[in-house]
Amino acid sequence: MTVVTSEMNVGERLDQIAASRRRKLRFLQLTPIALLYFAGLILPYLLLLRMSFNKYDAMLIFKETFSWANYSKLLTDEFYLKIVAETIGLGLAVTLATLILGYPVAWVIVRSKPRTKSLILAAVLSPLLINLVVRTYGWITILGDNGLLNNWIMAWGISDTPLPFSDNFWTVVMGLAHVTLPFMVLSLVSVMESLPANIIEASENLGASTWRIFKDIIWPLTWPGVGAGSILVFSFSISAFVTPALLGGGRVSTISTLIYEQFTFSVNWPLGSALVFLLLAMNMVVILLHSQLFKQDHG
Amino acid sequence: MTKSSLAIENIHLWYDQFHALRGINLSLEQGQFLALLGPSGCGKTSLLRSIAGFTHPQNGSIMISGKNVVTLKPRERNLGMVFQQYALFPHMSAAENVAFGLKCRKRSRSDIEERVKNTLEMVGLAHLADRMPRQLSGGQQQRVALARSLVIEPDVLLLDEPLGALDKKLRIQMQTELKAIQQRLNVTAIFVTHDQEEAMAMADTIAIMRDGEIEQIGSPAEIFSAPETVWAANFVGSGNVLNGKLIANGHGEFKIQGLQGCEFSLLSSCENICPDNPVFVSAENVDFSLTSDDDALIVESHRYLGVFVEVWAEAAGTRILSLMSPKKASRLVPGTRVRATAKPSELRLIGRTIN
Amino acid sequence: MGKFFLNISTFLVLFWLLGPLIVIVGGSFTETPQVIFPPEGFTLKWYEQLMGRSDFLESFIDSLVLASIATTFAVFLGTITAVGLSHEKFVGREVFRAFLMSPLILPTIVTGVALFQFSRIIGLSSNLVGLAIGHTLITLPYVIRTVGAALVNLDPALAEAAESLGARPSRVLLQVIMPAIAPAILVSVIFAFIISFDQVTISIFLTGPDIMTLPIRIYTYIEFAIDPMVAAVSTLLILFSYILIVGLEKIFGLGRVFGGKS
Repeated sequence: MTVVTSEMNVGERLDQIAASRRRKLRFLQLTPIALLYFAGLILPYLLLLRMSFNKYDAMLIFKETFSWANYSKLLTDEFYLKIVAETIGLGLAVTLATLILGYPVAWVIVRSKPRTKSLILAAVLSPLLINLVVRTYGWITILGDNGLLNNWIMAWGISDTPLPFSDNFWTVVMGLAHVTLPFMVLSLVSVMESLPANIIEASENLGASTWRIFKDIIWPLTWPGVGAGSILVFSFSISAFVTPALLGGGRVSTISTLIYEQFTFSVNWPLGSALVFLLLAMNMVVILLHSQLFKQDHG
Repeated sequence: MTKSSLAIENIHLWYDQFHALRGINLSLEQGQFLALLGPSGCGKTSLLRSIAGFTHPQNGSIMISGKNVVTLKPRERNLGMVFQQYALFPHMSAAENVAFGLKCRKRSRSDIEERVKNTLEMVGLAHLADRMPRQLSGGQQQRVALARSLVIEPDVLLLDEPLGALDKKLRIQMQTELKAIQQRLNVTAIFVTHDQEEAMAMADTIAIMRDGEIEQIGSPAEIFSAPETVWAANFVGSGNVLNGKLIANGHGEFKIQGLQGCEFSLLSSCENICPDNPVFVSAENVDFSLTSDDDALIVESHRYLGVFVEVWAEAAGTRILSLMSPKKASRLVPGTRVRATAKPSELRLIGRTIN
Repeated sequence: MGKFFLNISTFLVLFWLLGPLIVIVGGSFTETPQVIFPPEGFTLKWYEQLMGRSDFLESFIDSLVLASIATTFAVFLGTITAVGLSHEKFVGREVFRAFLMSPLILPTIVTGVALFQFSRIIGLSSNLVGLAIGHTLITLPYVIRTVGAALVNLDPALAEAAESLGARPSRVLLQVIMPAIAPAILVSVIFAFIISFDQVTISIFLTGPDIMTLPIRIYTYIEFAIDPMVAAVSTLLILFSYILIVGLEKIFGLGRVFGGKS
């Protein structure tokens, strides 16, 4: 008996040694990335947070202090409030646009035969592979004052002067919708794929009209996908920089373009940093709001 | 003149090149319960979906209560359908699921409430009206699906393998209940199945389908006791379909000749028999006995089915099956010589006339 | 009726999605001084002009170098991390994993600004270092996720079998685990490279006189002029990502490629 017990002890000891060796190995494997994230992400973000409480100084760039002045400026000054409102409006408009454009496309994808399905899906996703600047450039060549559309319009004599297709809010909405549509379509496709078998046929059989099938069956069942897609698109849109900067032609201001200005042209780092945390807070609110809505629907 | 509740004439359906339904004719009286029985791919589900309006036959007519419905949309046909996976609306409670069809028909709120309550009571689910489908067991979901399709008072009730997703015990219980409800409401019903026991247990008429055609249609007794084709006999029977020659034996008895190791004779109930002609015979409840004759079958293999053992024996290309107790089977190890016998009443000539 | 409407709207949306790309590719061959569509005539002069632009060529090299560095770091570090996360559970593993995914969720402009300010304050003189860190951070989550998924699908008995045969952990990692997840690592390499090569928002803060990536070069160029030469370089970029993706698709199939990304 004693022999068996001591053998078991040896086994346990060996297990313990192996476990501690594995812990050491894991520590070695996870330390480098922790260091990188600390130096490349945590420190810079903490520095931004600290900077947002500093004071702007034309000579020194910033002066060390601790005040909420930057935040209160952003939340009271009408100039900044308008930009916040415009950013939110932009996010909402893009979300709505991708929803309206993406819903029928997702539906067609889900209901197509496998070959057609992968073809449409590839077409929807292919812009993801094209550089953002290149895509925006494509829109400029089409919508600019000297662009394709205006060339046609003037050639056909519809108008003598170029029409202002570019450099406005709606151009930016269109450009961002172009960038974010794949996210919306993917979210919708994934819920539509998981609709229960025969659910539409069952509703038809029970006498439901097309509108009622959509309103009472498909829409409520695809709501989680609508929510997931919307939060993706909205967050992306309010944080986007390249599209508003290039397609807005300097005439559309969002929080992102403002951040860029504060850090490059105005060199007002403290205010720019406060803007950063305003943007992060907005993203946070959206995520919380979404999880709250989602819970209610499935509670 | 009795107006049939459902009449199908010469339905043809192609999926691209595939000819799925090849001239189906069918007529059902009010209250009849038809089973479409056949192997997968025989067209039984296509036929059901054509009646429901989900697939569109290129040819033929479907009359429901005297009205041709082929051009009507599914929602205009007033048919109830129970789907294989039930297709309950997962975001609606049991009661809301049942109420859906009535809401589509714009019934008044009080009317809807009362009908939903009555129908749920009928299927024994009144106490679970507020449960969501995912909170219900498979059998309960099945009942909700049934209630949902019955509450709209359909002209015909269609059931697509309605019990296929249930375990065996529950399935047998539901068969009885389903049939009782169908008889109580006197609703015309069609159900699709590949399970012949289920078809026999529930339907008053069975249509055996094969390759897009109805191979045979009749009462369960007719189908079972008088298969019209070799294929039907093979499909519904235990699998002993043999061919041999009839030799008159006197006293109205015929002996079947040309089958090595078999001693089968028939009673003369069939008037049109021409002796000496080749015939197909299906044999049920065949018995094997040990023999030392040269004229014998050789036991080939055993397959254990629990209470019974399937024993296969073979001679000259003919394979015969016998079901027996494990105890008896243990004496008939593979390689044993046996003789096959069956009571005359267990033998049936296939086809009404053989010329 | 409903079906017709659905098909038409899908077709229009696809046309809208692909329209700008068609205009760019077609417009790069036009003889006119502006991009027009359909192009007038056929010429390669914009490509010739592009080849003569040393700034664009240098930027192309810069992008290649940066993407290679970021890919090397991200794949090396990401694979080791994924292996570290794949051992038995430890307290806070899921929180740590979520933290490692955070560069995907944090707005890229914020990460860009944070790195920009940080490198200024600590007096980092080389833009390449800042860019390499930024690009590595932004590509790491993809690597960790792709390799991590492959490790989850790996039979745990594989490593145990090797250990029972007396292999040391390092040998288990190099000779048993690595070959089994090699396809995922290759996918990560291509992903990381594409993402780094396409990165704009972080790069815009961190480029400087010593290094300017190609997307930023195009960005600054089109702020002033939009001649067909940009269409030419854009077409080459489209071709470049197309080749990478088709290669990926040929090796692994479309479903897996996009499945990994979404």
